[in-house]
Amino acid sequence: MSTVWQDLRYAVRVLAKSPGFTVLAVLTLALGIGANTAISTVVYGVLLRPLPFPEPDRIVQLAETAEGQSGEMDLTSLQLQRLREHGQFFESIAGYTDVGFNVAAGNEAAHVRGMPVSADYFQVLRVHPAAGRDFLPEEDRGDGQRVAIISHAFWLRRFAGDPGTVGQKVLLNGDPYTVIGVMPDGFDPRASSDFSAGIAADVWVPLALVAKTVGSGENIGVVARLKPGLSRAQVDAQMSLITQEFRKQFPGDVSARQAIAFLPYQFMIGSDVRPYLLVLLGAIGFVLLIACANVANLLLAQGGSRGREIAVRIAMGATRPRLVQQLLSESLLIALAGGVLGLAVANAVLGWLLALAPVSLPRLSDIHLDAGIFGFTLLVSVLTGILFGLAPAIYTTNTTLSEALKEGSGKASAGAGRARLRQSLVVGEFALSLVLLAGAGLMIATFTKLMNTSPGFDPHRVLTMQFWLTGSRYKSTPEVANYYQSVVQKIEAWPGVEAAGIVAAGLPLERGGNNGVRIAGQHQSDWLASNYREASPGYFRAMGIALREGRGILDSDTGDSNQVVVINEAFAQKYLSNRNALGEHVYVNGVPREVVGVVADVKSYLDRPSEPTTFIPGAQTSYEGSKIWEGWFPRSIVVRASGNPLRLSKSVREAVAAVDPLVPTGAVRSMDQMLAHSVGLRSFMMMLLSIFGGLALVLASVGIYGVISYAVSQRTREIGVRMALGARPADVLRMILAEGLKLVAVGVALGVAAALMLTRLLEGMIYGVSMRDPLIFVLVNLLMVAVSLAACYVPALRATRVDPITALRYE
Amino acid sequence: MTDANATLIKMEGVKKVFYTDEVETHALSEIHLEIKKGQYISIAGPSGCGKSTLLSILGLLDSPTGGGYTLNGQPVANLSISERTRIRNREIGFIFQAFNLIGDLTVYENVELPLTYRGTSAAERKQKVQHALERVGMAHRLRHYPSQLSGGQQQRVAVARALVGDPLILMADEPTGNLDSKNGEAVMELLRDLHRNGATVCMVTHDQRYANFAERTIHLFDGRIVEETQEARVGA
Repeated sequence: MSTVWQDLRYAVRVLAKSPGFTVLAVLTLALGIGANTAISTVVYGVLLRPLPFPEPDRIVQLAETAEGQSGEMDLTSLQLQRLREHGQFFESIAGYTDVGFNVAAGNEAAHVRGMPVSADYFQVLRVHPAAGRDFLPEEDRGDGQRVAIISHAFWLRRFAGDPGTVGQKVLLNGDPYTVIGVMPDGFDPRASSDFSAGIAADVWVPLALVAKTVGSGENIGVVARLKPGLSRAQVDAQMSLITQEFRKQFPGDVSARQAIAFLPYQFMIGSDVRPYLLVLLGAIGFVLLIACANVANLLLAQGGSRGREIAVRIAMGATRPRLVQQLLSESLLIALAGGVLGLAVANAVLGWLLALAPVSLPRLSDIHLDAGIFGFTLLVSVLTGILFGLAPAIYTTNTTLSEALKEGSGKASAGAGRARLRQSLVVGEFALSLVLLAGAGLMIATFTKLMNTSPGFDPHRVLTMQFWLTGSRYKSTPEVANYYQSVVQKIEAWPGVEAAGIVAAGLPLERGGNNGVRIAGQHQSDWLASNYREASPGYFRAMGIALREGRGILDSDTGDSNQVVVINEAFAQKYLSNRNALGEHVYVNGVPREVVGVVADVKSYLDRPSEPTTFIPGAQTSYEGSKIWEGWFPRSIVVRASGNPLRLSKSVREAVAAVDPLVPTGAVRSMDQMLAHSVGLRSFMMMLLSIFGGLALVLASVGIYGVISYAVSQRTREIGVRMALGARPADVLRMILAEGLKLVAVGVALGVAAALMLTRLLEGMIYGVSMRDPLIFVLVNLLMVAVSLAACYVPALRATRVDPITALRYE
Repeated sequence: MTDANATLIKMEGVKKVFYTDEVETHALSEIHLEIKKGQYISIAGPSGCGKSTLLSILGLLDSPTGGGYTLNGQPVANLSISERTRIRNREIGFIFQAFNLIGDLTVYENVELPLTYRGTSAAERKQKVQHALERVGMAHRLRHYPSQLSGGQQQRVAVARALVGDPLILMADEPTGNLDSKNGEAVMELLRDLHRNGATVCMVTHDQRYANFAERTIHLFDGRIVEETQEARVGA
């Protein structure tokens, strides 16, 4: 112990004596460890932090899987019922779905996210109301009873935290519900498949109320708590049996390629962003490795000037392990200082990351520094210290005593091994940097491609505002159509508005509704998958969707008129390829409709082809059907402005309130904002990979600068001799630059090979660009050569200024 | 340093060959040497004759390419690195031409170094360091750093460091090489005093004046012992 203390004391002294070296090393590591800690905190918070439920490992989500990939998570109420019957290994099992509720209060209206859940939902999560009680089984039977459990936030907002709230009534979609419980503060069990991911639920009601109405009881998420002590194999075997039975019972739902499987509940949350986060974690790990290589290089250079000291210690009887311990204590001290400073860096970087994080990143509130992260940083620091300290310590203590102790050998000879190690480290730094820059290049190209991909409409100068009519005073399709007309007329009267329209069941660039349609004349069972939208007459003009054939939706398309449908080009090509689309009849929701127009394809996802879509006139829809769609996707007012659309936000909100203040409105966004949001994750990825790549390149450049500078200082005498013998400065410059470029070339070659393998991890994230895009690889190579030439130029220039006379006297 | 006339060092046919690329350099050839306890021996010869190489092998800083070497009755030519380190720590004290004090350690810490590596307790270290520094007249400079001392003082501290572990033999490699004549004389006097008190000293020097301080002088030339002289005025 006393030797450790002695080593630490000496380490402090040594580090204090070389402040330049110490500061550079500590800052390099602080940057590496800090950025690593920040990204690890995000990964931990989103993917790994235990969910705030007792024994969360036993909570599983039931999902359809196909060839090992998790797919659609939703099952039907009938399937849930069958699963309950096979419940020997469930402690509890529950279904849930997602709807919106209009909450009327006085002269104001609001929309909240609600979750119809089965009676044992809270039992599965083992979280129970802080006030009041849980649902009773009988409340979740038959048509369900109008009882509700509310969130802590809603209780504060709507009931001002009144302790007597339990037992009071709340109007949900215009129906009175009795509040039976208030959930604890912070309870937020959202999952990634939720349509309203990003918005916490405020109200829970019995599933039975909607189970038979929501898509005929479809779209039900199922969570279960496994009995304790079950092995994965037992569960898998049981699920295999259940899948076989489901295939027989629900032949249309579970194909031969699909299976019903348990996936850890935690795994499902954040599953969409998992690959992105893991790539970022790997990338920042590379940056830390590069930082370590740099510090190891600094230590090797410093070790070179400590050869005599080490030799003296060995001569005095220090064993090699003892000396390695001493040198490691110095590197550990640097690493710990880097770790402490790294936490400050992590804190700053984390704040910045969270501010820029895309909305699709779940569990944002779980991303924070805590004792566990501190421990992780400490561990990373110690490992880092060992990683960058061990090799230099071993090389530094590998000295030829009789030479090192001689007069005039104060600087230990560079040693071929040590020089090779330093060069190898720089080669490694460049190889890793190239991988990161290639990744960044691919993401930049992807982002550029996406931004240049036409969404199928003109997104500029368009404002959208969500609203909901369920629970309002509009109880029929004609009433809804009249409301639409009033709102559109009111908005179009505002100056600066060019057109306005309304769409239901989904805006472009967002997830929307889809259903099965049938072409008239085809076999009854030939259902075709198609996106479904309800639109008002002005919608296509307001959104800037081009009409290709026929006409759009007109005011004359009422409930009493000919039932019509407008389709998109994808629909026409895919389902009506051999015929003229106009005049064809398509069954939508069982109603035959005449195709009266074909519009341009509009994208729901920029990186995917447009899907066949039907647009039904708002005045010809089923009122009950629209209500179901509205449970998942808000209706939206779409306004085309003559200038900046966001300037109209207030006017549009006022116009809607003027028509009916009891219609709740939601987010107001421009389509440009939605476009940016739709590429948010990739933009985030591109930005971070570019920063990591840039950081890696800077660190690698510092590394090669250090190696070449050291080589020049070691070769001063040789350079002097060369110059004395007639070498011109240009010859010396060429010689030194060539030495640097040789290292870069090896690093780049290794990096290209590694990048070709590792960029495969970006599959699924890149779009419109080949993983082996030669242009990106050439550009990255040119960038690296240019930057490294600049880094080598300074020491090379110094070499050309060597005075031969001084150099020949140089020790 | 009792048991005079007992053999402390015995070398038989020691040779040292350096290999660089395809060139063999014979630094030492057929070295036969015996040093008895309590002797003061100097190794002299022109530059490049192999003096320092011989001292390095004697001090277990290097190992011979061939031949036998026995130290205090124990064959040491082919010991492992860790065994050589242990013997160096316990049985040999070094004094270098360049002093080789560690600049970041105080006088006290420099002298304490061999004892630290030996695992000696702090209290015992303190007592031994104090004693060693008193013997060389540097006890008043405990907290100084080497850079705050003159060359002569630094070499006295180096001598104290060599003495502190009570070694069997002191190996001095050109101990006056970096000193002016006055300080050089003082260091030589110090070594002579130590020898008078029973220390075995083996010193490399190319300066005939200082070689004469020893009772025996081995003359090397081209890696071979070409002459051995006994000084008449031993201890003068």
